[in-house]
Amino acid sequence: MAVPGCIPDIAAMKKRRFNSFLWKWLIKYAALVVVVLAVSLALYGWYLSYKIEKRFSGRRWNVPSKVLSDLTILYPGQGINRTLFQEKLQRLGYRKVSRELEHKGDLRLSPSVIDIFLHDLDIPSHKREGLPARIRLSQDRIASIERFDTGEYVPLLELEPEEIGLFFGAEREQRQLVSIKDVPENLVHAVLAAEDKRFYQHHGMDPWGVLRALYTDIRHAKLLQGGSTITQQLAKSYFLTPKRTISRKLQELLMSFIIEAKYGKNVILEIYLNEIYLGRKGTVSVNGVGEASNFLFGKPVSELSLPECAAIAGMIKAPNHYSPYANEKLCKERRNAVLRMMKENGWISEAEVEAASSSPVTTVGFAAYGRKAPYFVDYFAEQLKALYPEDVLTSYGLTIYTTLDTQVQLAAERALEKGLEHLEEAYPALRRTEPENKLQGAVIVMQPKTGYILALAGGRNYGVSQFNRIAQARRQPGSAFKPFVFLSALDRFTPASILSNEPKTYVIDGKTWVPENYEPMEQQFISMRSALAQSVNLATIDLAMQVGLDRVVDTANAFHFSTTLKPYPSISLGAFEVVPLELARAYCAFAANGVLPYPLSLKEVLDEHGQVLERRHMTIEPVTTPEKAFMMSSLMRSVVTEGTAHSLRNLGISFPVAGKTGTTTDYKDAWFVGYTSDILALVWVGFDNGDSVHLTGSAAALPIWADIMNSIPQYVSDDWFKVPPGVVTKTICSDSGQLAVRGGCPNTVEEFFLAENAPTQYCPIHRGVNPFDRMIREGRRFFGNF
Amino acid sequence: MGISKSIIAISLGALALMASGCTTERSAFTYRRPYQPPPYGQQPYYRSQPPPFYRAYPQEGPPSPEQPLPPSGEPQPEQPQGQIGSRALASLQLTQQGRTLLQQGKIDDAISVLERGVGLDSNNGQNYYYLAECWISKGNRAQAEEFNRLAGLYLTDSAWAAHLSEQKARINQMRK
Repeated sequence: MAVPGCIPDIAAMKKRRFNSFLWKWLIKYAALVVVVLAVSLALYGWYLSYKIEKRFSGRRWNVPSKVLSDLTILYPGQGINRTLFQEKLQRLGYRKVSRELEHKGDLRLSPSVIDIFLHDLDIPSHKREGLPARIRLSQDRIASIERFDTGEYVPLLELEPEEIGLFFGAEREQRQLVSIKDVPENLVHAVLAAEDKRFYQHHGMDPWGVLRALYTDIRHAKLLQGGSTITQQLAKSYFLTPKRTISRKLQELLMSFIIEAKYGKNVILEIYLNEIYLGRKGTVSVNGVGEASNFLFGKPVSELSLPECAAIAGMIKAPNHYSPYANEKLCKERRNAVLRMMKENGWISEAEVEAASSSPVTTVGFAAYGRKAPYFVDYFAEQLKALYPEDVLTSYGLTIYTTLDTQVQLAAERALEKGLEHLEEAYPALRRTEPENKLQGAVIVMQPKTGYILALAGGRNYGVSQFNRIAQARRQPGSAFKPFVFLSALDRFTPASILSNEPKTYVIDGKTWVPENYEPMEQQFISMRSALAQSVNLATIDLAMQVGLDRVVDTANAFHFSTTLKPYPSISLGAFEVVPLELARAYCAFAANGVLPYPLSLKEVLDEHGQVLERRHMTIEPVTTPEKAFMMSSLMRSVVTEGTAHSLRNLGISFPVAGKTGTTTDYKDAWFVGYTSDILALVWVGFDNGDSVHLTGSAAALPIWADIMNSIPQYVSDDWFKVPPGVVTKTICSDSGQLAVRGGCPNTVEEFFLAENAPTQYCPIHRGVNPFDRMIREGRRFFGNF
Repeated sequence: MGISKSIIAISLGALALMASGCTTERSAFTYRRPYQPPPYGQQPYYRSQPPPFYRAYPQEGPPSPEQPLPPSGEPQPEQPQGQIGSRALASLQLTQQGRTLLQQGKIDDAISVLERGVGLDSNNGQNYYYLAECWISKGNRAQAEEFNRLAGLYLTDSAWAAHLSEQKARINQMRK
């Protein structure tokens, strides 16, 4: 039946069949591939979505914890160190202006008047709106403080705490989180104008934006614009490492779509504004508009003006290039470009553009994050770490209030460095070439009544050595320990008691010990007051032996030294090593009515929402009576007026001070601990390896102490301790230490006594003299003067 | 262009939503889980009502720290007596702040402020008196006793002595 011409073309049929089979096969497998691809895309999408969700529901950023100083109190009549005070105002972000004060943070200085528009104060115990204040100065005192808007007299003015450090994580990022509600409309518009005009219209990707960018770039033959939307930028900076590949681009795009689908525009914008990198402050990166606003203009984001908003938005493209700190001219050009783009979008008027474009870029100025008071921060960080793990400190944005006074801290650091340099210049034997072997010193300044640590310098250079010689070192206190011997004797002995100053040999554990005085003395006997004032070793040992060494140990132990003290005669010369911080704390009790305060550095810890997590209050413990504490202050006053620290007068210290010098065997340590009723400072000078400094405490440590006190007149007054009711004054004979016989005793002195052991006997040396002999003796003395 | 983009966006969005099952828009700050600090030390004990002594004598005699303020305007001539007076006055401002906080039941804030007052002028015994009051409120007998004793060193006139012994009696009634 084959019809010619219709013969089936078997080959062709076979080929067709094969083709259709191939097609079916292809379609089948293509479908499979599509399904597989779709499933894997879905799975990948799910994975990314999971990642985004996880990231968004957890903590988004690590915010370092912030450490703040105490607030600063000003009142009329208070002494003021203008240099330190003005430096402080600068650190607090007050800007000098020459016009009338208009905004918080404005400052105008003249020789006798400081006009200041204070920032808001917001600490746990006190909130206050910023106010304009006029501080009148008269010489180096505050003459008056008043509000210059109302003229109202201000008896007490509080300056906000100052940031002294941050606990950074490894990434060293600083940011202050802002809520979208606090971001001014101008800033939102400026950012959108600069980065993503159609943000509220697109769905994560802006094809028009890409085309426009491409067109601009081609027209100008260089890369001027990127087409990335804010969402894409967020995906890029937030989730992925910075590399440029096609697959990365696709990944980014996919993420942008997911983010857009899952979250609203305002949430995305808020995250973006908090995330963006906006330059560097020293070694720390500044992230987010909150921190940038503070870093550039020294104000919260809500107070930013239009040109300031535009300047920040302009920086996003190349933060270090357009930063006003890097190049003010470029910053201004870029800012004005942003302003024009805002105008193009109809967000601001032509008049606004013109006004804003002509205004200068005024920055607040900044100090890179140096470590202020590094030893102090280390010291209390130890306590903090017992409360919070390291990652909490570096990421939860805690606010930590401390007792530090930055003016005192700077005074202490500078005085220490100056004093040590001066010693090295004056005494070549103290010079060392290697930085780590150099002469060292340490200072702690405390408020004796509250136990607040106002300043702490644990060494002369934290960069060279982080060892804290105040809190971690153990050194022999030498004569600086003597007050505890004298305190233990006050029940039986009085300042007028006569002590033996003769050399004696003591046998301890089978070994003989022959102590000596610092300088040979002729006097065989010496009063207790003079023994402490002149820091006489033999008389002190005599006193300790009479009182009983166990008693001395018990007395000292009440002051909570962490050292195990043993009843050896050498305890009276301070042979047991102590932690300098503990010694300073112990002296606080003498200045605080016999009450030992807990040394406070940490005051409050707040979480990022301002809730108080932790609070430390002044805690006190009686270690001796107010009467004995007063007696000790009186005895140590003589150290300064007539004893080993009398050179203080020549160092510019005119107010009453009590104190004690300390010098150890072979001059390894030089100490001075001095105090008033308001402030106490301890200074130590020595070598880490125990080399001799060849100097006494009064030569090495005392000048540093005086320098500190001269720099902080705000803590100094002419007040002296009030005589407690249990202390009486008597006129006594200097020779016998008993009540003076009127007209009989040739050398008399007014002396303080505890009421219970004041002398009741009259001087036995001059009592028996009959009135006639007395008259002759008086007459001889009178004429003998001529 | 816009339509295809929207389709992709919607489909991927839907995919993501299915995957997460969560669509609501929330503020960026509601997600963070607050840090719970480990418990430390004793929990402060707050009185819901201010202690009765406030009602007894805010108007009368020594406990009122309201001091006449110097007139505003021209700076006061500088004299040593004036300096001491102004320091005491500044410290009394803090006493007043502390007292107000104490009356509001903000005991810890009151302590912080009164401590600052002690640091500023340690001869102002009123700060010690109110610190004792704070520690009574917090139920810490040892600290209350100490501050009561210290207040006694500075507040020596008869009116204050009476308040101090009344305070001492209340401290003695506290559990050891």
